[in-house]
Amino acid sequence: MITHMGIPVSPGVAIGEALVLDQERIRIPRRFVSRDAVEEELERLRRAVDQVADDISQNRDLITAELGEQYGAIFAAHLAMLRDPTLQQSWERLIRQEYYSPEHAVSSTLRKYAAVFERMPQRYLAERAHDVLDLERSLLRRLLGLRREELTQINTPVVVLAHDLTPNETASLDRTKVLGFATEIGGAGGHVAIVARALEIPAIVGVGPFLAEVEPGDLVIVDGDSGQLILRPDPATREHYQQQADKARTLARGWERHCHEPALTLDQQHVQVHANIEFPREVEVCLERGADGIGLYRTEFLYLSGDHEPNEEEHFQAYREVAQRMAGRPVVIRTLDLGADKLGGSYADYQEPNPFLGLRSIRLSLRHMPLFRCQLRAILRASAYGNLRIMFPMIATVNELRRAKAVLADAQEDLAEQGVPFSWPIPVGIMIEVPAAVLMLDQLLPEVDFVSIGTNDLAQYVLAVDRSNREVADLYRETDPAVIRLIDTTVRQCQAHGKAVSLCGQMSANPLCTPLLIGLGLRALSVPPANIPEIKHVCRSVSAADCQKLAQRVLQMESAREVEHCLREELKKIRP
Amino acid sequence: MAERTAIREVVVVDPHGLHLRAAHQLTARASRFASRIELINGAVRADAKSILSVMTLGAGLGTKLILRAEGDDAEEAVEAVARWFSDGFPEEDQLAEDSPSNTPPVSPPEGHSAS
Repeated sequence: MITHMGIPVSPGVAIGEALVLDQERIRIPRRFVSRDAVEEELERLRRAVDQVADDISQNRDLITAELGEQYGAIFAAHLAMLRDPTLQQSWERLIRQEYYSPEHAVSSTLRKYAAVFERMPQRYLAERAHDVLDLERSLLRRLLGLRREELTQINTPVVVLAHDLTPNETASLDRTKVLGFATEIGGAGGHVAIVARALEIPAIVGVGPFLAEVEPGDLVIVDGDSGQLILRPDPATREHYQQQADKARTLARGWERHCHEPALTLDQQHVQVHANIEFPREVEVCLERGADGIGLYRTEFLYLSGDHEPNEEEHFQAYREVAQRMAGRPVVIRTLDLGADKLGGSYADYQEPNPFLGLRSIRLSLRHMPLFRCQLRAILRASAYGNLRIMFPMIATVNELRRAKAVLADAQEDLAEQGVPFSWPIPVGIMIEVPAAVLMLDQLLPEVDFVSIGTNDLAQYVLAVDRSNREVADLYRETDPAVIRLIDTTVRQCQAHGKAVSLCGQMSANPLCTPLLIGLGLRALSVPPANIPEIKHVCRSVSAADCQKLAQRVLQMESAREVEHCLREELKKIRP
Repeated sequence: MAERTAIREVVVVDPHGLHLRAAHQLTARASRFASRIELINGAVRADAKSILSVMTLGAGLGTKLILRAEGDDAEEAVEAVARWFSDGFPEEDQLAEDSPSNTPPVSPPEGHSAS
């Protein structure tokens, strides 16, 4: 048994046989062909090109239907590359005049392009080398008739292990067959992570080198909650995970039966359970699982879809879709919450030694007015179609909030002048993620309609721990008493000012923390759609009065360890 | 009829430069004209009907390119492509889908037929 730690990017546990996609360095058997075989070889290349084109078209249609036009367009561009007239001419010339084998022709031309792209100073353009090499790999596989471990043709459930997944490969994941996946490289904010979460496939990225240690068919466990990748688990570990998985399934079925009823505590306190989403199409799942609203609509995917800055219309379409499908239920749209490094393009010129303390989130929006105004206009326009609210992330000072609101007011005036319909006043809120905001709440609250506590960043900033840094990740605990005290202060301040407060972030989805959060006075939580039934169930199993006593005890504790121990004991009482 | 030539300078105004999707749009547009259309960035010359070739320009935000067309519809081609650059790469709803296999996608110009 070997255990590796990676970055958990999509929750859940997958146990199954490994499908290993190795970092294929495909060997080209023949570099040249005989003169009389030229026509035959050209025909072979044509067939391979057609097959690859079919594969790409299928992916394009699949991903357009699943995630929208924006993603689909990338595949359409891949198709154009494959059919590039210059490329086709080069191949034909190399085969006819130089007697190159099709494999050799494909590989040498595409690698030349990849080398040119790689040398480009703009990171976004340099990354296109991956797309070209992806194309080379697909063509070589077809030409050599390699039984590629086709992700689209899996017929038994597997856990996918790979060095990295390309956009094409991620797109082809069949969620009925792929139980989970783990990759050697990648980070928490990458495309793979976002798509995995949206597809609800447990996933770990950035594990580091491990493929040499695993054979296809080995039993592996991907624990997307803890980030553990376990290769060939011993019987006890396997049993442990298996039992947990079985238990989880049985429990989940029970919870889902009541997920559409409101979450009332034993003493009749109503806890609103909202959903966190990234893609408009997730609304479907939210409604199935009984979401009372969307508590956090992350809009970053619009910017991450890879190849261009979203325009106002694209923002608007996405927001309107969510607003309409939620049919009057509240939807909180969070404005751009990315670091400059993630945006690419000209924004990536900032080389920041410390991006988490740098130009990100609301700071970036306020620095790039056209970008910010475009998003706010789109949200306002979409507000005519449902119950929308705007939330600004990472507010640290009153000044930032006022400036953001001023931009919103500008956008509103422009739209009014143009006679475009929108709903006004639109409720405005802020994320509480920076400890400074907690200390300044008495100044901030009069200016907003609601706040939402983002525990992931709040814990990171107050504990001074970068949770994506493996050297110190163990110091990051959202159950640290310092974090809990910040939540307590925030909730009490909001109650005093009569402002709505909710909590999103990983803590809200952790059933261990639910009684504590109710005890601290929270009556609204926002969680990934998959967790709604369970969190509602926990709410129904406790009384707010008992929870309050629990919270008072926890607020006196000295360590995260002590807190977690206490919370575990508490959860055992309702779920032995 | 003698070959006509048209030349114009264009500037990339998109923050992401001449990105993948834009390159795709450009080649689809350029392919509607019969003229040979080139984009030139210093020593790098690219065939505007080839997406890979266009991407070798490495054209980031603010890059100035020479747009050059040769052929009967050279002026129309330069006009259309230049406008697409100055408008900041507007997208069309429907791009010409997969062109039939192995034929260079040079379609006859629509509404630009030379007399």
